[in-house]
Amino acid sequence: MEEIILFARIHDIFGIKLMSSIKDTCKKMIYYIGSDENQKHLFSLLDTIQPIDEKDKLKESLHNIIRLSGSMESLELLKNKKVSLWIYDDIYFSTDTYEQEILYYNTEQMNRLEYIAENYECKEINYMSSYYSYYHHGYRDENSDIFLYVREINEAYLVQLGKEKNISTKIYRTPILYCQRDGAQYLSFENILSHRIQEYVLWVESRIPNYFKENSIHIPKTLDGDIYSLSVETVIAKIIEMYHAAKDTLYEIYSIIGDKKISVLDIMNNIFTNQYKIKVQVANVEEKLNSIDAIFYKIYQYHFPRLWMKEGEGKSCVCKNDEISTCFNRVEVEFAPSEKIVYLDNGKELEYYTAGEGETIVIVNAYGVDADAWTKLIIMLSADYRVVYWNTRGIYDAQKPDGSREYICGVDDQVADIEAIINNEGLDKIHIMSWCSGAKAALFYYTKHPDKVLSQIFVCGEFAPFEGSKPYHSKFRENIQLIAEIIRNDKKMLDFYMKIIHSGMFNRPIKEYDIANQNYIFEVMPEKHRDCLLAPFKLKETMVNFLNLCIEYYSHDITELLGMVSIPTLLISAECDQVAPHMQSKWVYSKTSDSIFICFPAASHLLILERTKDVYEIIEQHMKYSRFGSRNDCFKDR
Amino acid sequence: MDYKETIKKYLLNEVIHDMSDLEDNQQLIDSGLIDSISIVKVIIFFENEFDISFEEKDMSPINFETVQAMVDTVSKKTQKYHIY
Repeated sequence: MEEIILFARIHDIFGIKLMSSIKDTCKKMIYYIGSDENQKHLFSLLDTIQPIDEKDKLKESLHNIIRLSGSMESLELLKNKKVSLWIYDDIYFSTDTYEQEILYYNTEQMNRLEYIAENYECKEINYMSSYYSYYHHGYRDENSDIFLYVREINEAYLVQLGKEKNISTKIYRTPILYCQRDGAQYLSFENILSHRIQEYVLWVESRIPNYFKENSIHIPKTLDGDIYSLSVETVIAKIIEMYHAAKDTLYEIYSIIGDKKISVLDIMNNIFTNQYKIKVQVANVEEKLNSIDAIFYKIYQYHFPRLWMKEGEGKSCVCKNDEISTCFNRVEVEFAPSEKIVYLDNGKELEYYTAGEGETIVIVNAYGVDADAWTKLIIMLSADYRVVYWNTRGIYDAQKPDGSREYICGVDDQVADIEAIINNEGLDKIHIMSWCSGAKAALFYYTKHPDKVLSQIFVCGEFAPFEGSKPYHSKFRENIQLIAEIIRNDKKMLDFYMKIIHSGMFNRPIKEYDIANQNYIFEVMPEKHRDCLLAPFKLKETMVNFLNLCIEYYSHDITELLGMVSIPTLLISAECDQVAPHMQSKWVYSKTSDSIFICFPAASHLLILERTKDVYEIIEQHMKYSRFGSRNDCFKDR
Repeated sequence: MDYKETIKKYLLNEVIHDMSDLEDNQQLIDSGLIDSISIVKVIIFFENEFDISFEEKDMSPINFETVQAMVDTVSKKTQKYHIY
C-alpha cells in the first residue's frame, strides 16, 4: 500500500518549509487539505521570501504537492493509501477576542481529522504546537489562555484518538509562534519584541522628540521571563529527527527547547540599549513607572506571549540556541491601487481606488482625512481582500451637487457615494469598514441595504449623540458649535483658528515631558501625519465645509438603527482615544447582538496609522472566525 | 495696567476652571490646559480688553504658550499701538 504524507492544513511559511523538508527526507507523495484561495494565499506568502533560490525551491515544493479541497469526494483520493497525518495549530491568537469562535473552529478541524482517522488507513499522527501562552488573558485561570487551552485539548484528543485507533501519535511542542507569514522576517519572540520596541520608541519620539535623550525607560521586574531562541530551521530539523527516531510506545510528547533559557529583560535591554541608545532601568514595582513607561508596559502585557511549560512534561529535545537577529530591514512594498471614476446622479465625478482581489472590504473614510492614511492597512488587507476606498466628499465646494458654499454634504450624501461606488463596481456582497466619522454613513448604508453587507468593522467610531453620551464627547465635538459661531461672527477669527490648527500651534510635539502633560500626549498630532489628517484646515473653504460636515454628522442619533443590526460587527477602539473615546464603541457593542468589542491598550485615535498590524490582525480574526450569511455558516478557509 | 493679573484672572475664571493659580512659565498649550477653541476666546478677550488687534502672523505658539508669553505679546502689541 502506498504511504503518503497528508498535511491537514498549511497556512504559513513554517508549514511550507516543514512540508518541503519532509518531502526531501521522506521521498513520499505529499498531500494537503486546502481551498483554491488557501493555495493562492500560500504562494503569495512565498513572494515575501528574500533569498530567491529558497523562494523558488519552496514554490516548486508547493507546486508538486497534491491539494485536496477537503470535501468528502476529494478525500476519496486517500483510499488504499497509508496516511501519515501532520497537523499544526491553525488559529490566530494575537488577542483573546474570538475565544468562543476559535474553540468552535478548532472543533470543526478536529472533527475532520477524526473523520480521516476513522475512514482511511491512518498510520500515524504528528501534531505540532507552540509552548507560548498569552497568559494575562486568563482563559481558564490567570495563567492560561485560549491558545494554550486549544493546545491542551488537541493533544489530549489526538492521543486518545491514537489509542483508540491504534495509531502512533507524536506531539512536538515548539517555540514557533504560528503563523509565520513574512518570509523576510522570522516571526520569533525576539523579532516581535524588536518591532514593538521600534514602534514604541517612534511613537514616543513623535510626541516628545527629546524624551529618550533625557530619560531612561523603566521596566518592571514582573515583565521578566525566559524564552528559548530557536530558528524555524532548527525546529524543523529537530522535528524531522524525532519523527524518524525509533519509538516503542504508542505516543510520544517532545518539547523542543534551547540549551539554555534567555531572560526577556536581557533581550529588551539589548534592543533598547544597542539599537536606540536608551538606558533601561529595572523597576521593582509597577508604581515606579511614569506614563511613558506605562505605555510600553501595557503594550507588552497585552500583546506578548510567555513561555508556558510544565516541569517534566514530555521529553526534552535540546537544541543549541540560535542567534536570532533583532535588527530588521523594513521591506518597502510597491503599492499601486487602481484609480477609478464614478459619475454620480448629480453629474459630479467621484474618484475612488481599488486594490487586491478576494472578498470586498469597502472603506468609508473619516471626514477630511486623506485616503493615504489607510495605505499601510490597505497594503496588508489587499494581500487577501479586494479593498475599495476614497476621500469623502464635501470638503470642497466643487464636490457639492450645486457647487455652492451653502450646501452641506451630509451623511445621506456619503451613503449615496457608497451606493454609487458599489454599483459601479458591480459588488453583490461586501464587508464595510469605517474610521471615526465614516461610521454613521457605513451604518446607514447597511440598514438601507442589509442584503449586501456581510459584516461591519468600525475603527475608533464616532457614534454620539446617544443617551448618556456627553462624558464621551471629544473637546472638539463639545466646542464645535462655539467654533462655528465665533468664526461666523468674526471672519478674522476663522483665519486665526485655521492658522493655529494648521501651523501646529496645538497638538504639536511636546518640548519637555512633565507629569502635567501625561494625558495630552495622546492628543499630539505627529508631524508625519499632519498632511493627511489636517488637510481641511489648509483653506477657508475646506475649513468651513469641514465644520459644517461635522455639525451635520453630530446631529444624527443612531440608537434606533443599532437595533436593526444583525450581522457580525467588529468594534475596534483605542484606550486613549481623545477624538472618539472608546466608550462610544463600547456603547454600540452593548446595543448590537452579534458584535465584538476590542480596546487596544495605550493606543490613540491614530490606530490605523500607528498600530496598523494590530488592527490588521483583529480584522483578520474577524474575517476568519465570524459567521457570515453567505458562507453557509462555514469558517473562512484560508 | 497689570496685564499679568488680568490675564491670569481671565484664564482661571473662563478657561482653566480646575486650578487655583498658574505659574508664570507654566506650559499652557503643551499641557493641554488651553485648547484650540480656548485660544480663540483668549484672543478675542485680549483684543477687547487691551484694545489691540492681532494679525495672522501673531498666531504662533511662542506668543501664547505661558502666562508670561501672553503678557509679553500683549505688551508688544500695546507698545506698537502707542507708537502709531
